[in-house]
Amino acid sequence: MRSGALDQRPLRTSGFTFIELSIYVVLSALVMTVVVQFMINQSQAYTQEVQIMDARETVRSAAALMTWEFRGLSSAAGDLYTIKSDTVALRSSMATGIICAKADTIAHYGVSGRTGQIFTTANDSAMVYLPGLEDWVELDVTDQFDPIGSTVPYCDWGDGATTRPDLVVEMAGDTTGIQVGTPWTAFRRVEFGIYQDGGRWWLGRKVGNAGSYEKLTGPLVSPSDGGFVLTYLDDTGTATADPTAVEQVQIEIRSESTGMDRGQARQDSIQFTVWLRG
Amino acid sequence: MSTLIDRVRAHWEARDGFAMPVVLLALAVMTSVAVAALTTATDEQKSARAVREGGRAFYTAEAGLWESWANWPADSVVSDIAQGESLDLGWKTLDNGGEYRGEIFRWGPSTFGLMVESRGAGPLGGQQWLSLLVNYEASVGIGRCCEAAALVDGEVMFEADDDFILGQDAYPAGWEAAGVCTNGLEDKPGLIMKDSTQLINEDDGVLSGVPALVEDTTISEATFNDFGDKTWADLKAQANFSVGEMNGGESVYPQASVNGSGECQTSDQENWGSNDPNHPCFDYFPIILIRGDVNARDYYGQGIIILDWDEATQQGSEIDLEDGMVFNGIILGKGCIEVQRGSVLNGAAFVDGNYFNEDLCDPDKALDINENGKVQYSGCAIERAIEGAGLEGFGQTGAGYKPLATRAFAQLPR
Repeated sequence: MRSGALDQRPLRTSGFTFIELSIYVVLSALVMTVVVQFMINQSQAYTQEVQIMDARETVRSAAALMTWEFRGLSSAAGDLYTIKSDTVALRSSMATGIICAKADTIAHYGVSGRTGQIFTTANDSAMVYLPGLEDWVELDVTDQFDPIGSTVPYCDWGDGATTRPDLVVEMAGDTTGIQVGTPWTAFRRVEFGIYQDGGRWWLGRKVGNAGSYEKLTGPLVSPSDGGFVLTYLDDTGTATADPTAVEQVQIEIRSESTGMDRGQARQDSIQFTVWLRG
Repeated sequence: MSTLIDRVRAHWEARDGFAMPVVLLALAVMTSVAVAALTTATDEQKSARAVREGGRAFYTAEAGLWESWANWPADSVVSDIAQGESLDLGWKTLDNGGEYRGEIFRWGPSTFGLMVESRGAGPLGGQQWLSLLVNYEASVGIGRCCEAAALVDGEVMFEADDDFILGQDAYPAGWEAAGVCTNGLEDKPGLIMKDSTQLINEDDGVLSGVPALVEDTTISEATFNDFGDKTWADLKAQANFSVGEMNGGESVYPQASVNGSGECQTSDQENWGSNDPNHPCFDYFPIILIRGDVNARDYYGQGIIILDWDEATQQGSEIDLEDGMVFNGIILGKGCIEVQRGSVLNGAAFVDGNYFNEDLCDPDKALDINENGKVQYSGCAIERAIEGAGLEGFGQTGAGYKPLATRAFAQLPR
């Protein structure tokens, strides 16, 4: 019977011959070598890609930050304190708003339409625009409160006290002339610059009179290799050292990756110009 | 009985070696690496695109900001915005597909904010918010007449401690209740002078404002002749009537009067309007040309007083407000002003003392305050006087809506 013959065949095939085994080993070694090499190459490419992205993200974030800071400045109004090729000290805008109410007997002011964050440290100040003076006047911000339960719980827009301020600030200085409708801006003195930490170079900032830099982004290449270079131009496009004459700032940023590839950091760079619009 | 499935299973179970698992493992590893690389590349592309679209949104907002500014609505529309309220300009689309929405806020009587939010055209649709602070310099002004309680080129004197020049904005008595002062108060400097050493304060007269005193060395003869596209002669020609003669003297006792029909009698040259909201002359604001030395006494007037001058002798005129006289409006021109004996000017004074007439003014100064005289800045009195007199077209060059000279632009964090 046919089926009986099939049943009598051994279930396991016979073993490999030496030649078969040799070929198998050689082919396996070749395949494994190719696979491993491919994986090594992929790993290196991936590492390089990560490092390139790291360097690229650094220049992007640095560029976005410096662009934001410079755009709103008014050099004519004294917003640039000191200008150097690798550092700049400026009046950094932290928040804006409109005075919508004021207390009767104390320098508490309701702020409406607030954007940004407000701080009340010694490094913080505010400016109010007085139409009668046609200029901004600087004051200190000494405290801030929730409008509910404060001295100015409602805006004084003449709408029957139905609108609450976004917050209430206490200011010190000559507050004469501040009225409902006065534009208000909060500032910090901030110095941006390149500094060294842990053998690498970083973009950092000093808020107020801080003695050391606070790390923002990096690493950058060294200043001598053009890690962070600022060039200040006046309205004719000529380089200027006068902070009140600056109309545009050329910024060059060269970053490098945090990690190394065979002892070499990947680099990226960006060069752009920001016009001061304030 | 062995089935076909059993036989296939037995056949596979009889297989030895590890090539297949190795190949599958390698494929899995390579697939993981490829997926990771693809994901990374996709993230990188998205990141780059987000940055690009964020930048595009900023430029959309900036273009929208300046387009909105270029198409700033008519004054009649903007001036109707109540303080604290806004006017939505609606969404608009730029040629590149970016969209922006402008909104005009009225923060103060003359302070406005143009806010623009934008949406980028791409799928990641970056958003940005920009603002432009705009100041309104009254196009209804008469030159620089109303930048302070008093703007003077020449000597200013306080003779006693009960004399006042006040820049803090105030409503004339009864006008707020009458509903004619709706734009809010906005303090101004008390006194703007070309040369602050010409301020003589003999006995602690009160000078206050925001700030109290401003020295403006740019003030010149041209300052008092700049009425936009109009001239001094144009302004003078607007006068309803003149009082006095050059180098002569005259006293008037202004009082509102009505004709037989009960209407404001504008032909009466001693009718200088009424302070009573129920009087027919409440909205009558004459333009009065003063020639020589004119004393306005005892009663009430409103409108515009122009101090004339003689081109041949280069000498101006003098107006004295005295004996409790109250004038709501503007006094401007060439010569001198004296406010004394309990009299009050609510509004603004704008006088060029270079045409000081020694025969008329001496010993008074270009602006002389004595015996409880007061010059009180009043934006409402100024506005009503100019509108009532029909002198809206005499604003200084460049008047109207203008971005603040500094820090007008802001990129707003959200």
